[in-house]
Amino acid sequence: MRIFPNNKRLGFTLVEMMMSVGCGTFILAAIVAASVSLQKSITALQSYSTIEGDQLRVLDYIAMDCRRATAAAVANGSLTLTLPVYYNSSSSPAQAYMPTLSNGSVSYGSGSVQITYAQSGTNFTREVKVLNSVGGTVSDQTTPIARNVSTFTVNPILQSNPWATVSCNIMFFPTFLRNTSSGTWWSGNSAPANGTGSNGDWYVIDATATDQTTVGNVYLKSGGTFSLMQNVKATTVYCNTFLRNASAR
Amino acid sequence: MKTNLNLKNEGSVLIMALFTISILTFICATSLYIASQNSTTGVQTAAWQQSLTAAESGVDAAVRALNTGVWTNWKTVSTATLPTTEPPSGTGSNASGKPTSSQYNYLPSSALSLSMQGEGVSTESAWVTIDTAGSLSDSSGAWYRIRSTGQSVFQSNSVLTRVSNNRLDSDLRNTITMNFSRKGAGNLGPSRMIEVIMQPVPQAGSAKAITLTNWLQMTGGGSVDAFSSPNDQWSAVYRDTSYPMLVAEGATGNSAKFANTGQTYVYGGVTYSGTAPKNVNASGPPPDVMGQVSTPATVNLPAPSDPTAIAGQSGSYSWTYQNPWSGATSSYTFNSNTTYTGGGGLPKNSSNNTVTSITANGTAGSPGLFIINGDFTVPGGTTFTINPTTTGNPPVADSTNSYIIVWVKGKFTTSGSGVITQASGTNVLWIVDNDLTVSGNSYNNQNGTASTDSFIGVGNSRFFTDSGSATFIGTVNAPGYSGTISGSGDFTGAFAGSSLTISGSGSFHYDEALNGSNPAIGNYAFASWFEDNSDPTHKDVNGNYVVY
Repeated sequence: MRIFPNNKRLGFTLVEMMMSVGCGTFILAAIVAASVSLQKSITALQSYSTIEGDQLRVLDYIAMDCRRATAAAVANGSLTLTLPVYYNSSSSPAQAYMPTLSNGSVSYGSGSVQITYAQSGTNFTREVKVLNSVGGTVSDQTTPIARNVSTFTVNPILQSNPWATVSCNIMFFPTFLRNTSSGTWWSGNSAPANGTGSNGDWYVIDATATDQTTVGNVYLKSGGTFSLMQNVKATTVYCNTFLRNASAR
Repeated sequence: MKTNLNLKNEGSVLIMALFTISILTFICATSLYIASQNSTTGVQTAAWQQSLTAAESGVDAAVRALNTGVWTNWKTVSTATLPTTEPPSGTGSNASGKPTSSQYNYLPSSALSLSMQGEGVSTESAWVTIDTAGSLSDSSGAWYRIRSTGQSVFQSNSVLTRVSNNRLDSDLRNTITMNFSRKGAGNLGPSRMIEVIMQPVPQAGSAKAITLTNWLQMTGGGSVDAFSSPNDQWSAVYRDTSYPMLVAEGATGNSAKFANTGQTYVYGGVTYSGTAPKNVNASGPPPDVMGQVSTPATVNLPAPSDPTAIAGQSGSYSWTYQNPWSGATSSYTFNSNTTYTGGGGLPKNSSNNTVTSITANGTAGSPGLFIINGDFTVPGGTTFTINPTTTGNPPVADSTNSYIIVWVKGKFTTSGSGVITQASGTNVLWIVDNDLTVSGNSYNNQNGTASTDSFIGVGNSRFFTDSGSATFIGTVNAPGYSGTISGSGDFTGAFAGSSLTISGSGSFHYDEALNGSNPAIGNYAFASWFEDNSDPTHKDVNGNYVVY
């Protein structure tokens, strides 16, 4: 008999239940929404961090190599820098060669090191090729130093210009702003044709744009049609480095 | 029973709350970790750049010491082997000059240090060494190798322990930054080492074999070389095989052009401004220019002037002249002169008699002055002789008293078979105010040395012509003159002018004695720049110890 009063206290009225379920659902939805939002934010932050790291690395690599290059050449959209063979790799640990004078110019060791920067798909690669004195390849290693690269443009170098510089543009896909998810990033010099890619893919107008004001326009393909989402300008890095050895005296 | 039911309800809420809090905490922690990692990468990258700035400051300090000769705070260490980490305090003795081939000079980081406030780097410093790099040298003097290591020290070691997740960053920056400190194990932080080779630049007498404010063109089969012989007379065995800089072009709109026939034309270097020389390596090897082709050129040819009459002193003149090859500046005062009248033939004296010879009658510091009003012409079939002052019996040339300056106020012309003979023992300096036409056949410098025969062209838009089949021996300093050297005869000496065309098969030989015995070094210029980015104790992402 005493149980009934207790059972009654344990129950809820329909109104109470509806209120509690409603509030609970609302709170849970808010938590889920916050979690999803935070997750997106983290993903974007991670992507941004990765891209920023890639951009800094690319700039630092190119600037360092340009400063110490003895010659530079641009061909087929790639930049090739020639460095002296500074290290005597036969010594352990490797030591710097003693510089020598030849025909009034300084050289280290024999042969040369060719460093080539190029775009390979969406990767930006740095190829280090060590050549011997007769041009034979001693070693050749290509390493992607940045990903999600949309375009790489480098201006032809006029070696006769005593103040020659290497000017490069490297444009990255704005993945931090528009998460690709399972979609693929595309790029081109004008608005995408609807036949490009599939639904969920992204497209950005790159630095080769015929209309430079459209550079950074981001499109999303949905329902078989690309729609302009927004313009993102902050994904292009630019460097203009003086060729100290190749030109400066 | 009642109690149990209540506990179950409260527990589910607690678990839900804990679960939710855990998820949020995990998300926040991840977010903070990423943000922290990003921040650390940024700090490390900035520090890495600051290290380069510090290293370049070290290079600046070394260049300053080389250029000024002030070695305050520098130490000299008597060994030719450069250290790989900073020498301990107290190493070496106070430096008083440039290092010899068995020494290196060293600037400790304590003398080149900067403290900073705030996050990131707390101290920037650089330590520097200078040595001769195995006795590198050329005809201008010793070359020097500067190694400068810039070092950043962080505020907190926490920055050191957390690095980017990308191994590539370690290859580029962190291998050196985190693991390899050239300053020493107790001073971890980004360090960057620059190796610069400096070449000497003569202060005065910077003119080269051929120094032009505009351009050079070589269209014949002749060559250009430099020599240093015991008697200052050219022979191929005395050719300077270090291939020094021989041609300097100052123009920005023109360029040197070398004939494209596969022959070796310049046994030395070419320095230029503006457009690069053409065909410098057209048919090599061997290339047409065997020395260095560099830019920009520093061409500074002071415009020579005529002697100036001294007011109130009839027949007296003063004259100052700077030799562009030796750099020496000479000032003369002439209290008297001998004046002739020029024209279409040999000069005439005041009695209207033709003068066929003169005597060099002064010293190096006080040469005799001859003035020819008008053109000085030696027509075909005639001769003009410059004799020395003699001494003794039988008379012999007294070379110390056989200096003269001949001032031609018009054109200087030798034509046909006309010959000027400059006798052995004489030293003649010609000041010419208009076009200058001469040849090896028509100007016989019996000394055989270029330093004894100097032509100075005054004015602009004039012409210098050297032709014939015999060797012309002398120097021409005519910054406003366009020169042409044709024929098969050689030219031994030096030329400074506006432009020069060498169209014949004769060669050009630069006498290095014209530079003087020890030309002063004005400053040092970059010849090579390299950044060492390798850590010999750590492999990169590809498994290499040597990292370019």
